[in-house]
Amino acid sequence: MTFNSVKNVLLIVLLTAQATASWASLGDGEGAIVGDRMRMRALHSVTRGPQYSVHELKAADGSRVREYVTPNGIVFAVSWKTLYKPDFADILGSRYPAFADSLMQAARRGGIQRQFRHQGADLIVLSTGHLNVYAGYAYSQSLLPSGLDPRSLGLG
Amino acid sequence: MATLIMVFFLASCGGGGDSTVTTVSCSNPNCQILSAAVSTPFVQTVNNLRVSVDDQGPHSFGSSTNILFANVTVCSPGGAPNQCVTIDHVLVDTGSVGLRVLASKVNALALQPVSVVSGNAWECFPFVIGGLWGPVVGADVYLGQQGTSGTALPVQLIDDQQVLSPTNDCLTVTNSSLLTSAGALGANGILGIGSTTLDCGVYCENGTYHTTAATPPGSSVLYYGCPAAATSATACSLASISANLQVYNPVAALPAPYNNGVVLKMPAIPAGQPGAASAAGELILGVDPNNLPGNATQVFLGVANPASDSYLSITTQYNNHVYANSYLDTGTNGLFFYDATLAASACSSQQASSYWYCPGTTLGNLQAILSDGDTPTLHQVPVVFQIGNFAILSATSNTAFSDSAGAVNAQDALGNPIPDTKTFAWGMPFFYGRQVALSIWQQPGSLNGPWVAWAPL
Repeated sequence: MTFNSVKNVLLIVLLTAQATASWASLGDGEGAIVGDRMRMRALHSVTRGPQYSVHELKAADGSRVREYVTPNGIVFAVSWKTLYKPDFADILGSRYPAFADSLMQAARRGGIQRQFRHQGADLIVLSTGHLNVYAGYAYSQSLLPSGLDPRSLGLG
Repeated sequence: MATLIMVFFLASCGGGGDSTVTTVSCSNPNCQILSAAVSTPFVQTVNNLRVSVDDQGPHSFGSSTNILFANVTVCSPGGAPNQCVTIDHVLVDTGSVGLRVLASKVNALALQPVSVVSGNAWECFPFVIGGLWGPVVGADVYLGQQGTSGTALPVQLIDDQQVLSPTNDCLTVTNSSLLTSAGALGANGILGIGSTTLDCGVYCENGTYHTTAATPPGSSVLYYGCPAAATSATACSLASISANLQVYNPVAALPAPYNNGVVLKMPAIPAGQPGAASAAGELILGVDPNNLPGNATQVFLGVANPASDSYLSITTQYNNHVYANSYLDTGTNGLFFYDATLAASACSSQQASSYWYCPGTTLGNLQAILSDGDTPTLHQVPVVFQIGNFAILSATSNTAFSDSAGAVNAQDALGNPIPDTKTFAWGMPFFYGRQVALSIWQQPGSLNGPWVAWAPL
C-alpha cells in the first residue's frame, strides 16, 4: 500500500469518526464527550476529583452543559443552562422513552408548564424553561458513585 | 402526622368588596362553591384592553385555574376593516414571546406565509412540556385600539387542521407532545408579551439550529422552509430567517410609546374568599419608567451571563433560601417554588413528582424579598403572600386564586432528597391586587436590560 493510500485511508477513518461522533448520554463512556464538544462547538474544560470528574462545555452563546463522570469514566449526571431546549434523547440515551412517556402524561394537564420533574425508579430529571432560557439536570441513581449525595453536585 | 383541619374563613373582607358566596348545584359530595367575581374598573382608552381570568375558554381537562385571557384581533395586512377576526380567550403569557393562534380561527383571512429561501416559513416552537407547530404568516394585530401597522407582523399559526405533519426534529424537540388543539392548549392561542422582542434571535438568523444531525445545536426554536405544494414535512428543510421575519413580540410592534412593555392591573381577591368565580383586570400598553405606578422600584432581570441562574430572572429570598431563577409570569397558574418546610403540606403523596400545597389552614403573612438578578443586593423589595389549601380551592367552581401554590418535588420515589430547583415562579397569584409593569429589552426605557416594577392597586 502506498503512503498516499494509507494517508487517504486514515483521512477517511478520521472523517468518518467525526461524522458519526455521538453524544455522551447517561451511561455512556466519557470518550464520547468529545462528540458533545464538537456538536456544541464548545470550549471544554475538565475538573477531576476522587469521587467524580466534571466536563464542562461552554458554547459561544453562553450555554453551558456539565457532564459528571464516575472514576470509571461513565457519565452518571448531566446538567445544563442553555439558550435552547436540550435534546433529551441525546442526554438520556436509552433512558429517554420513559422520560418522554411521563412528559406526555404531564402534557395532558393542558396550559403552559415551565417546570417538570421526572422521578423514575432510577432516572431523575428536572427540566425548567422560561423565555427560551432552559435549565435542569438528569442523573441515574444507580450510576451515582457510592455514597455521593446528588445535592452536593451543585445541581438544581 | 398532623390532622388536616379544613377551616373556611367566611369573615367579611376588607376593601369594600362584595364577598357573597353562592352555592351551586353539587354533582359530588363536595359542594361547588362559587364565590363572587372581582373586577377592576375599566374605561376603554387608546392603549388598554380588558383581560380576565375565567372558565370560558376551551379546555379538555376540567376547569381552568388562573389562566389569563384576552381578545386579540387579527387582520389581513393593510386590509379593509372587515378583513379581521377577533379571537377570544387567547392566553396572555409574559413568559414567552410572539402571537400564536389556531389556524382554523383565521382561515377566512387567508393570511400569507412568510417566505424563506426554501419555501414558506413554518415554525416549531417548544415549551418545557410540548410545543407548537405551524406556518409563520404576516398579519396586522390589534390589542385594544392599538395595532401593528406598516410591515406585517410575523405570527405563528398553530396547525390544528393537519395541513402539514410536523418534522421529525420538531417531534424530537417537543418530545412528541405537540399541542395541536384549543383543548390541549386550554386557549385559542398564546399572546406572548415577555421581556424580549424576538422568539429566537441570532441562532435562527444564522441557521445554527438544534438538530439531530452533526451540526452544532444553537436554538431549539426551529424555522423551516416548506415548498408551497408540500404535503409532507419531509419536504421541509431548516432555514435561516432574518430577524424581521421571525415571530415578534406584538407589543414591541405597536406604535411608540406603547411598544416598550405593559402594565397589568388585576383586582384583589378578598381575604377569606376561596378564590373568585372570575377576575377581570386591565392590560395597559406601554410603560413609563419615569412614572411608575405607586413610585414602584424597578427590579432588573439578569443580563450579564446567559450561563448564570439569574439570566432573564430576578432573585427571590424566602425562608433563608435564595432562588436565583425567579420571574413574574402570567403564564404560570400558581406560585411554584420548592420549600422544605412547606413540602410537608403537599396535597398529594410525597412521592408525586409535583404537587400543590395543602396547608391545614391558609398560611398568611409569608414574606419574601425580590431583587435584581445580576446583583441581588440591589433593588430589594419585600413581598407578602399567602398559601391556601389547594384541595379546598379546587373543590370550588372558582377560577381565580391568589393563594394557590405548589412545587416540583425534591424527593425521589423512595423519599430520598434530591436537588431542588433554584426557581421561584411568581405566577398569576402575584398579580392580584397589584399593578405590575413589565418592560421589554431593547425597547425605549430598557436598553440595558428589562425590568419589572409593581405596586398595590
